[in-house]
Amino acid sequence: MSGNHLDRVDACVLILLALVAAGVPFAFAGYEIKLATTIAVQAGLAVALGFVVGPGGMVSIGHAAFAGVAAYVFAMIAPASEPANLLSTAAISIVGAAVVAAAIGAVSIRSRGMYFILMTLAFGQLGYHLFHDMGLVGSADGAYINMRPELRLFGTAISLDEAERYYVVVAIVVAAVIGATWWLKRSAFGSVLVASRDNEVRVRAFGFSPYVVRLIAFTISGAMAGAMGYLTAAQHGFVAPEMLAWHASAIPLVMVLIGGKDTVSGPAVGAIVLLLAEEVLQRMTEHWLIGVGLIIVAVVLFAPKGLVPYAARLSIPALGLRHA
Amino acid sequence: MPEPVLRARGLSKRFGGLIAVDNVDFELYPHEIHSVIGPNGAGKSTFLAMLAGDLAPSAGSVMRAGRDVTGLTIQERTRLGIGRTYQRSAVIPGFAAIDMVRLAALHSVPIWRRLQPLASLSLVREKADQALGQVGLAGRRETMTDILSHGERRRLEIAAVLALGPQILLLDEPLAGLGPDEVREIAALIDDLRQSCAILLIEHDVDVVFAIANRITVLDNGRVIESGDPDAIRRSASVQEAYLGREGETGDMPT
Repeated sequence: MSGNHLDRVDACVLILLALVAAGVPFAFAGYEIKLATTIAVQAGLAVALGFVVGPGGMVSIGHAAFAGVAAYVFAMIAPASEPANLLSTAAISIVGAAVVAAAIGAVSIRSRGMYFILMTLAFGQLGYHLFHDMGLVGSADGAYINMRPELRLFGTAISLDEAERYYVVVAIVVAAVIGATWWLKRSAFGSVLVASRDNEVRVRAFGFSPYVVRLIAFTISGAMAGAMGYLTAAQHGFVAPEMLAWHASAIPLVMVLIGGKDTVSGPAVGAIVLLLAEEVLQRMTEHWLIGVGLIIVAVVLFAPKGLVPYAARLSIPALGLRHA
Repeated sequence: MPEPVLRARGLSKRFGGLIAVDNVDFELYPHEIHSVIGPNGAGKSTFLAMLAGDLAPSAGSVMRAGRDVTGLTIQERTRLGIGRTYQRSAVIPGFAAIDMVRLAALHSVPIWRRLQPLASLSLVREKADQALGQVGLAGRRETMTDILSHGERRRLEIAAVLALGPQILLLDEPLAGLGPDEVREIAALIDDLRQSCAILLIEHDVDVVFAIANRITVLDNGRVIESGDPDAIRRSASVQEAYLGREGETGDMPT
């Protein structure tokens, strides 16, 4: 299968997702809107992680820590008795996540493969214990954010308390994250990142530092994860140390692998499939986790490169194309 | 004699108890092809790796046009105009041939423009097209590097290094594994390249070396046993000993 065909399918899936996301406020209300908001945020987190796992070749099990850091920064700076300014508090929270990602990346990226995975896991757990055991921001109990932030534009404050309105803001931010990832992956920077993954020695001989390229990608990804952490905290009005724990990082990684790490849309598709499957199975049985596990096993067995590359492969004969 | 563009002084490399390169002095002058030959295991590729910055020397120094570059990384030396190829094909899998060469040419555009796709950068496009044309691969520009033949990969590597716009070319056995026609073409290309570059050529094909090199340095067991113009090397008894004593390992010296 040629890269061009996969890229075209990737773009088509993204357009389809955008259309579905745009239709959600018109088709659903109440709980479904909240569920769609959660799925959108998780999709954004998975896409951010997919950028470093796929093109970057860096399997991080610490990305939830960046989301968690941004959430905690927001909890610390949010006013107690009035809505926070969404733009300024989000900017501060995202910068906080980016700084932490840059610091963790600067150390972790010196190692590769399994050791990189262990480093990110260790840093993530370090963050978890920092907030859980050190008496910071509510310690193990977490902390509340009393009021959802509001969007202040041109002197007008727009409340985001309505679920539909908040969903629209989230959808726009997630679309921006996906768009930025798409752009970066196709940029010359993205090409250097992919080449650094596949032939580091040659990339050095071309005058680039794979370490610096990876660190930039990791920091950008951490910042995008931070944006998702901010949106999660703003949605639920609550932050807890569990947001940084390793299982919170493992779930987006599963989403990336289900959808396909070599595409931009794949991680978003993985998030949708996993969270909708959870939602449906939870209503059917208390043993819903078994069902989720079977779905993951089925994807690994039958679509090991992920659902979007699988769809691209299936579409080749359907479109009358030849295997390249 | 002009200033050498690249100079090594007392360059040595030890791997534990093994001395791979032992106190080698070397100069490379503008517009010359200076070949380093020697039997297998003589330390040629290790020596080149130290000049390129892939390997830190155990002792000695490397000077680039009078500047000490011994402590610089390969990427820093690349930015100083030193380009290298590898003994084993080192293409980037999953890339079209033209994109790999474009990647090499990317250093010529400012960092902020690197957020654009490779194919949209006109300077990068021009340099890559020219380099690919120079090695005769223009017809294979969209072919994925994974399915290029061995000879095409060797050419692609040279094209990629040319796209860097180097003043110094360090070529590690560029003719290895090529057919006779390809050897003639690549040898002619290297011969032409001296117009724009100083070239260090490590090569086992001594016929080509004696045909195109201005100077030859012979390594054996990590040490320089002779250095001079091709005629002097041809007459050297120690070189004859190094080669004829190991006939079948590297081939006879040309007469």
